[in-house]
Amino acid sequence: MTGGEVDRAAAEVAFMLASQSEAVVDVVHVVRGGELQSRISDEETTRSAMQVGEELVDSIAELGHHLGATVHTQVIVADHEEEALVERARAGVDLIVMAASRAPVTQRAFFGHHIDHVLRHAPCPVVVVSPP
Amino acid sequence: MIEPLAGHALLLVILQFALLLLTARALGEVAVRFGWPSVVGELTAGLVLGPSLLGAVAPGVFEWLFPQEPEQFHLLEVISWLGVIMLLILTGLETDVRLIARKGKGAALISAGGIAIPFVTGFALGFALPGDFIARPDQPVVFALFIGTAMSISAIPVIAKVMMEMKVIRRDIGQVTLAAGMIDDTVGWILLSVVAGMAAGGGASAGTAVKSILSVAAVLVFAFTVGRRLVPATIRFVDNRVGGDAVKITTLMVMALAFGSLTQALHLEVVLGAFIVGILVGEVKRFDHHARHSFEQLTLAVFAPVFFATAGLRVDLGALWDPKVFAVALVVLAVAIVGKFAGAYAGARLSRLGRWEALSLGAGMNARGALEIIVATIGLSLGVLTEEMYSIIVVMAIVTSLMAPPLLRWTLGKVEMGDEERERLEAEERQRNSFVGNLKRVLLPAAGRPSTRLAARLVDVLVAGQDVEVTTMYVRRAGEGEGEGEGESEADSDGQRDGDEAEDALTQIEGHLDLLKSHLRRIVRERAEDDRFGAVAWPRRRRATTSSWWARPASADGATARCSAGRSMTWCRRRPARCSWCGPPARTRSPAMATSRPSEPRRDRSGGCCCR
Repeated sequence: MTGGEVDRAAAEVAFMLASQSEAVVDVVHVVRGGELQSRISDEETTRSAMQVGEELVDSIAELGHHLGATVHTQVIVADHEEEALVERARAGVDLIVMAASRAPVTQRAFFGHHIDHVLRHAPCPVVVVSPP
Repeated sequence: MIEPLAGHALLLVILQFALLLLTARALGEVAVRFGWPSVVGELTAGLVLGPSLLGAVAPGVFEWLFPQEPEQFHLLEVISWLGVIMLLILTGLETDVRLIARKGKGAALISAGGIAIPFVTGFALGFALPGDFIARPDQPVVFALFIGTAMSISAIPVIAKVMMEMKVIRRDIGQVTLAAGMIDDTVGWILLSVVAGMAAGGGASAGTAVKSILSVAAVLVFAFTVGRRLVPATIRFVDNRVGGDAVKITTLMVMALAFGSLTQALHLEVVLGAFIVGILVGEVKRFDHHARHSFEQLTLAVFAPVFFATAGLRVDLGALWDPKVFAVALVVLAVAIVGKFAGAYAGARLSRLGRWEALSLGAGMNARGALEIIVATIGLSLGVLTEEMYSIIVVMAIVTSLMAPPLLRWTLGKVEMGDEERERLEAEERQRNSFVGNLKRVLLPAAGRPSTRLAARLVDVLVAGQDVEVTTMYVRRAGEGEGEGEGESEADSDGQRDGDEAEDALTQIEGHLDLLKSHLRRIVRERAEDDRFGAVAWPRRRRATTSSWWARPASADGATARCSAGRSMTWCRRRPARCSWCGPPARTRSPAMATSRPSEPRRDRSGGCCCR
């Protein structure tokens, strides 16, 4: 989740599905950190990025509560967002709902390498909400 | 042979149109600058160009420009009637039936007070007025009923505009005022139709009253049973077949004019039909904000100002200098203001609203605005009102409209917001920005794979309880079952296999859709090189497609039967089961369906099907 309009649409889709099937929604925000990022930014920057992430997932979770879904929130620090997501999914997730940051411009449905990676490696179905 | 319209008459009407429009729009904008409703300025345009000012200052110019010949004036009247019809459609479009239902009890009490007291005081006033103010002295009851009705009307646009300005339109006070105003209007137009029916029927007798009431009841029952199904179906049909705002607005106008002709033929006034069609179309999600906005712009920019200016043309303010007329005007004004204010205030207090809310309601509902002008115009055309009485009612409408905005601004500023109301407003804001809540059409490609079934399940959950059109679509691979030199029996068998494949894939995913309020549309087509799913499913123009589609209501049980060729057909409660691959039987195939067939003769795919 990054908090944009498409993110909120994707979140809404997940919350609607969860509220109908009594599932739990994990709202996940990944902060670039770890070894790679620490070379170009300090610990304080990561901490403030995490704080922004917390606020973001909280605001998304509030939308979920209003739609009657059970919501958990999580802010992860990782080098690679897509790998963190796939790893998280392997721990027992039935469905991943993601927002694409861009619409495919060519005839091929390519939404960027993050989503491409998740689509290839996810152990469960993936729903991608793409901007118009 | 009928003589065509003479050059001079045509010149005059076009010149009148241009002058009235220019003056009305200019003065309307000036009025808005001063914080008044634009209708006040637009009416003033009529006063400026009419006998009140131009006629008094330069009688020669006035006589040349607006010759007092019925034939010439009728030309202008036709344009102004178009304005009335469009204004009433707009009023109907803005009437939110769900809002009335939600706020029903409180709004009904306020409205009951806001109608009953002004109606009774108006009715009494009608009897008390001197005989020379009554156009037909032999029908005093019809006149008194008409004055009562004229007093009961409220001007939603004036109220709504002030509330929008102050950002209170979505608040409880805004909603309850609008709901009460809408009930006032609806009852007002029905009352007006009954009174008009009685006037046309020759006076107030039990017979004419019963006949008018029965006609209105029949029209309403027809509109809210048959019309309620027919109107959304028609809008959906034209939007699917042609698409775009223009065709939706054309459909709206045609329906309003047709239904207006019916109500006019029943002596219930064309405005009733237009208003009802407006309400019905306003409930259709497909007639979206954009189409509504386009219609509103056309109405408010051209036709409504000309109507108000023409209404102002008929007013002779000079007549008000007569002490007797002036005294009657003051009495009418006082009765109108006191009756409506007291009625709405009492109703609001009865429904347990606070003092400031009740005062706001009184101040808002007191504005008569545009709708009073329509009532007065109808009174004049029915021959119920004299010219003096017409002028008095128009002046009353102007004065009450001028009073409302400052009074409303003052009282609304004192109304406080509670926690419950704040939460409701936040929920509405979320709904407005909701992605799922604003879905109108969903395309669901069917390929018979597990992911398709998952997609169908997702769509089912997302559109549950919403009015959404779901289009299921199957695209056959190019060249599938089209081998050269095959025997007929093989061709038939290929065609049958393709049909079965499409049918099975579509039936399978439709089985996952348990649509309650939504509509299902089905498309089967052959893939061409340049096809994209969106362009194929929702063509903006009619295209030669190989689609065979049908719509079924969400209530259809979806049970399948087999045609004589062994293909499965989906049973629909509204229509008999038929083979969805071959479309409807040849004899009953509609022209639109026929043109949606491919331009080149296809291989006979339907061999032996029930449709043959």
